[in-house]
Amino acid sequence: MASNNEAVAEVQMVAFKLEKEEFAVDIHQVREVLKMTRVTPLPQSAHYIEGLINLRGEVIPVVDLRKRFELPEGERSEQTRIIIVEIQDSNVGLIVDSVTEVLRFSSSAIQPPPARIAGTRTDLIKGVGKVEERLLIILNLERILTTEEIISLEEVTLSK
Amino acid sequence: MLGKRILITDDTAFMRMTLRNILVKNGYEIAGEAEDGVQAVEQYMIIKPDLVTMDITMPNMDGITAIKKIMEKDPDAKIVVVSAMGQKALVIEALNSGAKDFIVKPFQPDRIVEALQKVIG
Amino acid sequence: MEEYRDLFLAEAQEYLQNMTDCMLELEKDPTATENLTEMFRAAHSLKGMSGTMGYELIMKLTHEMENLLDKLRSGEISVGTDLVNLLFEAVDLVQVMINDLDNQKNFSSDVQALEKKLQGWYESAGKEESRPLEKGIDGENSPEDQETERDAAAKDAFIKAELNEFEKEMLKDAASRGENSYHINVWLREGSLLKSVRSYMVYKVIEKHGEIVKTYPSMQAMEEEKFDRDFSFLLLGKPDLDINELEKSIKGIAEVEKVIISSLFLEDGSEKAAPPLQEAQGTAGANAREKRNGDQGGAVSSQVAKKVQPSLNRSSEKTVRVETAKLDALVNLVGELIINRTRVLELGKQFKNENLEASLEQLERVTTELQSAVMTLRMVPIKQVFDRFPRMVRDLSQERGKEIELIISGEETELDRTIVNQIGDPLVHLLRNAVDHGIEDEEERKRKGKRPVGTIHLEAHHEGSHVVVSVEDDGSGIDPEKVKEKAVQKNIITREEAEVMEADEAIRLIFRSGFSTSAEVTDISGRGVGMDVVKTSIEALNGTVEVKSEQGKGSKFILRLPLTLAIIRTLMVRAGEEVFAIPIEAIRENLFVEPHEIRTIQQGKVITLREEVLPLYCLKEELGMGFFEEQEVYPVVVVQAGEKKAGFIVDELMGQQEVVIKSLSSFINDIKGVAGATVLGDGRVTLILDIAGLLEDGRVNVGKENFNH
Repeated sequence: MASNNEAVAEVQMVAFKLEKEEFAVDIHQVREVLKMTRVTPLPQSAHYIEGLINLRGEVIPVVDLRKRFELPEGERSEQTRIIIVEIQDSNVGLIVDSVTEVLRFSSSAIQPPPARIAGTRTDLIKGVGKVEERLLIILNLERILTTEEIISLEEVTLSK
Repeated sequence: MLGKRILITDDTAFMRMTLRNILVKNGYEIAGEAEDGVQAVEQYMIIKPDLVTMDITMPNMDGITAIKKIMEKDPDAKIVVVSAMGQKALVIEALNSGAKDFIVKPFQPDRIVEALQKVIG
Repeated sequence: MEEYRDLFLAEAQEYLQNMTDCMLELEKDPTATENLTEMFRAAHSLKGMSGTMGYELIMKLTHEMENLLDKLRSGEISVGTDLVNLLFEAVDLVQVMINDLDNQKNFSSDVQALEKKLQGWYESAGKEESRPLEKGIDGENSPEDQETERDAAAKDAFIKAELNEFEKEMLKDAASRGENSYHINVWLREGSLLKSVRSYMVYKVIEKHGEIVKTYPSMQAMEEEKFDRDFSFLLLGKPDLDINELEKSIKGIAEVEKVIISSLFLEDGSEKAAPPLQEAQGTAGANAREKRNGDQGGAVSSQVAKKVQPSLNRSSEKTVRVETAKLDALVNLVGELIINRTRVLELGKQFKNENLEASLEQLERVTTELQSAVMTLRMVPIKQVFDRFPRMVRDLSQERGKEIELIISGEETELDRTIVNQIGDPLVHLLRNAVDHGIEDEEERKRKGKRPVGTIHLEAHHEGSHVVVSVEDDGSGIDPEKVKEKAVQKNIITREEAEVMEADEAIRLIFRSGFSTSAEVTDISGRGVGMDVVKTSIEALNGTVEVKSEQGKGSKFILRLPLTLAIIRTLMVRAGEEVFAIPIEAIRENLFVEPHEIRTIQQGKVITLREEVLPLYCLKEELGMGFFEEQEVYPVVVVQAGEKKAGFIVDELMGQQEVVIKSLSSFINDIKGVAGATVLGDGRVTLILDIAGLLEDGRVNVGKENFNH
């Protein structure tokens, strides 16, 4: 992601929250952000696959990121959003607690994840972006959505 | 095809006779015979045939000149030029001068009939 | 040359197929000499076409084939299996060369070798030497009428290939202004003298009707009479051009035997010339083929009279070639339109306005017709798949030392393009299976009192909204005991299960994965095959496969495939809070069942339906979305997949609806029991159930995941 900014000095990211943790996704990967909507459940699927939604005729699977990271099911609030991202030529929806804002990072503000921290799956993290006092984790969505392993939230955050 | 009148032009009597036989056998009427271009042009205006067969190489006036002259007098004239093998360029010139089609010597009856049919029916 | 290669390939392919078919016929009946004539013509045309396109090697090879075939048809040599095998070898080599047009030189030694062999055959027949290969379009053997359209098309391709970009642009430009381009192919009668003058006369006539952009051969070559009997012009016609008039005036020139005029399209390089504007003459070849097909007797008394489509008779259909991508886009759009229509209709109901209702009804009618029309665009005859089988079965049966007759019927049956593409491999497997294991060898058949020649019947027909394809053999049938024994050995079932298993169910064991090992199954392509793969491939197409077999008599494999993939009629049912769509084809009937009618036995609930015992399942439970609840009356949907029948208890029957099947994203793995998803008028995603998947293995139990809502 951060490789985009060889020529461009800035990277735009969509920031979202799960519990108290803040994450970011490259805006180029984000197709759309929707308000929470009715999801059709899919039998015989992993527990974190919430089901299917219809986006203008396209049937898109939706993943509850809270459940993906083994968090208890959250209360769906006004803030809850579905971020539609493009992964490996497919569209997937991610249910998040809230989408905070679209941030601009200068290329220097994005760092690769720290080498080895106990309890962190750095292979699931693409990088860390710094904005004022906040640190946003840039997740490796491809890995997270395609691997079958169980991942807990602590493993993808830096604050312990 | 019935009763169409043809003017045959050729400097050789033998040729004229051969052609005459073929045409008569196929239902055409021979309106006249000419030995050279001059005669052809003269006779044309008198007989007013439905079609003229014109040999290319003739004394006094050659076929192509005769064609031109006849076309001048009657733009609707139907002339079929008769040539020997190897006279390609002349045939083309004849066509350009107004001839409607061509026949090649030695004669092949069905070819002649076909050509005539296409021109005057 | 690139763009017009497709045309050459398509035509060459047809000729090769034709030759193959003829050779098989001939082998069966060496007296059917019309096949030789047809093959001779095919070889001749191939020679002409490849010569025109510049494929020297193919031309040389087909020339030798033509020579040999000439001797055959004149009776100087007689047909025999060796000769047929040699000709097959030649056909195969041509096929290979056609598949690899860019690397022709790789084949030169193969061609040489085969040439020698072919020459060896007819030289041994003595008499004259072969006619030498002539440069130019045709050999001295004048082509029959039937071929001229083919050759014209190839030359047409050649002329177009000679156009440079500027010329193509100019023609395209002109076309948009109503000035169309035409390919005019003119034939002089045999033995015409002063041909160049004739061509000149033709030239002058055509010139009056527009601008002559290109000629074939070149003007100079025409003047020098460097052509056999025909030549072609590419004409950019004037806007008021009258084709009939043009044709008449060309025909009005003496010694002109035939004129073929065809339109030229130059759009986006994807369209080729439309077929000749003239009607093709009745083809002697087609008649020969019909006769052949009619003569096809056979032990199978259920031989249905075939509707013969002579493969070379294309000119009577007006066709256009369209890129498949464009077609798919169109199909998708129509699918979307249908969904939106449903929504509009729903909204319209709220207004209770007569005019609106009438218009909406009209809208519904028109869009339904549009949908049908578009769906048929994707349909192709199953013949494409069937065509390669006679040869395959012949070769395979020769290999195995068995004599087998393959009877094909219903090859004109049409199905969706995608299905046709996918159905080939399963059918290959079923046919190989029939040859290898089904049909017994001659000795055994004689002992059993059967005809020494085994029969395999490959058949296709429409049945409602399905296509049924079956492979039936009169071989030894499947022995349920043997199957059971093998299944036990492979740990697919236990011995106890085997003991109580009925014959029907036992036979179906062959479809279980693990039943055939790769060591036993031979496949040229090296891919793993087995009956289980056949089953999963067919099911992936929303189809089913069944087998009926009788020991000693034979077996029949029946494939049922949907006509189209994209839109199906369904019954909407509610189970719990969710709505599901059940494809209508899977539904036998709907019932309302009262509690006292339900009996509980060991395996679960059942009811008795007209002397049949029907297992009952609660759909909600089976999908892991709820639990069975006591009601006063239970709506039940009776479904069937293959031989299995069951009733699903639902909460509500909601009515029929046509839905567009949306594929589930690749992100989600295949879910058993779910065929796909659809979007309803209200925008909701609804799952389409896969009944075959739900009823698999005689027991339903799909969703173990609990549903949380």
